Amino acid sequence: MTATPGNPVIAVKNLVKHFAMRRSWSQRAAVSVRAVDGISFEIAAGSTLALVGESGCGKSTTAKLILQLERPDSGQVLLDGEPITKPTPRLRQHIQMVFQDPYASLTPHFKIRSILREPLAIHRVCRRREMRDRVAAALDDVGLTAEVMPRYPHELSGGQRQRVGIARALAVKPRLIVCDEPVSALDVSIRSQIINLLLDLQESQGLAYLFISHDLDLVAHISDVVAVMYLGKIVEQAPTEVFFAGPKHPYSQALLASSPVPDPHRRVQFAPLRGEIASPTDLPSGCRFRTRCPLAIDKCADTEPPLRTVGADHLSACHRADELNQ
Amino acid sequence: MSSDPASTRSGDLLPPHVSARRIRVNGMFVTGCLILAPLVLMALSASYLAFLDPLSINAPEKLLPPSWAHPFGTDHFGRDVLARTVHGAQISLRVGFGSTLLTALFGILLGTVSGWYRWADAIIGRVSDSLMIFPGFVLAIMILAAIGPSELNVVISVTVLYAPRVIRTVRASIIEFRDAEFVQAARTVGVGDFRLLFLHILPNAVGPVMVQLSFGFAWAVLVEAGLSFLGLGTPPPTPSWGSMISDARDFIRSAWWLITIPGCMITLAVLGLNLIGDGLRDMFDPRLQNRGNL
Amino acid sequence: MIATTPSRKTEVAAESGDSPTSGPLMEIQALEVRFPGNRGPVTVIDQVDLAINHGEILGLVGESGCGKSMLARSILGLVPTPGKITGGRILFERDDLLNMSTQAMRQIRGDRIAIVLQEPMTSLDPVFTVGNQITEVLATHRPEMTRHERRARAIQMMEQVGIQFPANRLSQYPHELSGGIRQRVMIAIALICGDVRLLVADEPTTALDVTIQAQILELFVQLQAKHSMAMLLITHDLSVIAQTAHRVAVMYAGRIVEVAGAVPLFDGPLHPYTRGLMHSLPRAGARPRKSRMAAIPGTVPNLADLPPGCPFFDRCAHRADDLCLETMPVLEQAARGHWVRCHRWRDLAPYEPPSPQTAAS
Repeated sequence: MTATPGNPVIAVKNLVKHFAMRRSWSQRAAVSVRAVDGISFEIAAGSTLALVGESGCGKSTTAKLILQLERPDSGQVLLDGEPITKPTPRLRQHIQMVFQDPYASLTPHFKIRSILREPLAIHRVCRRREMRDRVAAALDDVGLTAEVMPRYPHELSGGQRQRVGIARALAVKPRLIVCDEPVSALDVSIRSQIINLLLDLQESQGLAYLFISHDLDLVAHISDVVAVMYLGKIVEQAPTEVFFAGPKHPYSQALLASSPVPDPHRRVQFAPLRGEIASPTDLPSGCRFRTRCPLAIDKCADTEPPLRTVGADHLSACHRADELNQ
Repeated sequence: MSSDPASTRSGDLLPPHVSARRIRVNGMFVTGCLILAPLVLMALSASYLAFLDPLSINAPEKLLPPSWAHPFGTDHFGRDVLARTVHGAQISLRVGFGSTLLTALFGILLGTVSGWYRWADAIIGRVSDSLMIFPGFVLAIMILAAIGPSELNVVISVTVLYAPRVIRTVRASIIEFRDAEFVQAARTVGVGDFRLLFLHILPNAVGPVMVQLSFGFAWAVLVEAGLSFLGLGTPPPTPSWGSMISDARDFIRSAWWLITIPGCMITLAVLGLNLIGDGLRDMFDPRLQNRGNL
Repeated sequence: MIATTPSRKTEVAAESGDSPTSGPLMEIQALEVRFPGNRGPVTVIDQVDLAINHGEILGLVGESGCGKSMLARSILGLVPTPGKITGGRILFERDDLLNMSTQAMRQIRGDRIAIVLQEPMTSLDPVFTVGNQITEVLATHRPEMTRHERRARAIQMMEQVGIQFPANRLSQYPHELSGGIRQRVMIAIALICGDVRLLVADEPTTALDVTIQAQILELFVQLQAKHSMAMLLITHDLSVIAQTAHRVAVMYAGRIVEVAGAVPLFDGPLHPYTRGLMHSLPRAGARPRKSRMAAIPGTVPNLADLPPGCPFFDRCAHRADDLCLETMPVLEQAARGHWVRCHRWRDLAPYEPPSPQTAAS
């Protein structure tokens, strides 16, 4: 939960990352893309924070910042309360990632055995002669048999590949796994297998997940806390039940209303949101969402709404949050 | 394949024709090897066949057409063309192999450095680009004119001229895979730069580099022949296919075998190597493995 | 293999049809598409019978490799080499598309039958302006139109698909547009001739964000009604189907396994695969948070290595051993307009829908 007693595994404080981008040769001044613009959250052991938003909202950059694949411009990532500034072995061992595309994220010319041995060898988790057993155990944890060890990634099905990706992340006994759309590239009939696996592993190993997804139905099922991002900012954050019972930001409401329901009796006649996401190089004044917001008032163009408490554990960055869901 | 349902189902997304394609491709590669094999054998055995002396002059037997005694005939000094062809194979392939080896060494090394470090790219990239501006053969003539004709110098000039292509190939592969998802994945489990580069990234360049090198080999054989033809390659009287053709110019009408036989040899060597290159290209091309994936 | 008779096929169409005209717009009969493989040809589309009625949205749902995209390509005569259509007929307004000359097919494609693909970035040519690409279709199919008329028509069409400032957009290149706008351009290109009877949309919203997906789906439904054209909507996403389709066909391993009206299908799916798919969808509030989700075990079968019987055999919870393993079930009519390819559909317990959403208001 947002205010979990005890220490969170990971805490992010005011994380900022801007990318310099030059539009053309003639243009001297580089344009800055504000990919992540001051976000904060915490994730406790055994719980899942879902980061939700559309493409370009900064979810993937956030993941890279936490994994230290990118250096933040400012702000901190704290692992067990200690700030991390560079990719130390300890960080690499404690924070792992499961990628969206299970094929692109496995080195194509490595056998499954080598893919799983690598983290074990680097972090000296076990002796050489125990290696084989450890790899077999890691495969067993994710529901694969030792038979896949001598195979190459392209010889496995999508679901099997994603299991290998999860086994690799688990091999070094991490505390946090960043899951970047881990099932969206998989077939519908395979998705729930992988979700069940992630849920089982969380329960048995007390893992914390940062779950990046655009699928709200899925997020409703597996997360403890939901954070919605829009153009580099968290616009709403709440415990999952609270969020789905009554989102307090017009963007969250629109997202919920836009995601199609598998029920022909409840058809959405009109798209809830007009227009498209504003360019991150050319942000509107005041509230970033106001260009698409059905509730925008003059104040929204003048002042940027701060992320403030609107209920128990419930944060929203909207001037009119109190008028919503009444 | 085993009978385990989970593993036999692994090919679910692979179109069924992929492996069929692979076999056909190997055919091209195999044809190239079959053409090249006798030439290599010839070159390797040249020193052991004492009766084939490429240099012994026998004036009375000059310009004899092919016969049982001289299967490829004799030249204007009465030298045995078979002996000269066999020894010529040795020189051509030695030059080709030597320059390919050196090209591979420098190409991969410099290409890797220039793909991985942006600062190095500025220097290596510019130098290799400027080398590629010149027509290769003309530059080879210039280099040899400066450092003098010899077999080693031919190897050096071919290397200087061909290495930039390999550098670019390697550099392109490194840049392509530098930010690939599997590289990021390896980073997140803590793989260091060195291991990342040599185990995860560089092997992806092996295919394109092999292709480049087999074409480079063919090119080296051609350049050696061309330079020898101009008198800039292997100095006489050592028999090189190029200088044999050069010597035969005056006898095109009277002694067809003098020019035809080394000409055929060059053609065969280049054809074989190009077939190997094409075969390798198809075998290594990752796109062919994903084709028709619907 | 099932014996197919034309009469039964017409029945498939007519049963569900609330179409004004008699007979379906398109009838696919016993279609078969094969690819050469290592151990003999692999059948990627097997005995597919499907009718598309005038003015309906037919949703075609299935997983990767089930043959749904190949079916779309077959309709357009664009089966990639070395694949071949090895059997069946595709009747479009009574003409067999498979017997048509390349020339005649080209006349129909883009004019009477149009397609919208998944990836709007790659299906637009990056080196031509949007205007160029929209008017090119007119240049092919309406050569009598003047340059000026084409431009005017393009602007009108762009307005119709909800592109703002169409005149300015004409001179832009695809990379200057967002994903949503690019998809709208694709739709404009598909519909510009104004004569489209069948629009084939292959995963048209899969690459888009949810808010944009909602916009594009709204546009599809609205355009479909306005032009009273038929639409074949191919997707892996049951929710998209539920939101748009009048009828639904479910494909598995190259075969149609269930066809029904959208409401009957979602209220009472008969095929175990369809039921499995429905249950494996996460639905907010349908089951306790973080509980295990219903899953279909196993993986999608390898088409080169199918059992002689039901292709879903390995993964099915309701299989009867000998019959299902050895005999391919036929597509039977279970109710008016509801067809299912399963030996055991009569024996299955009545479908219990996942409890409806309660948490959200």
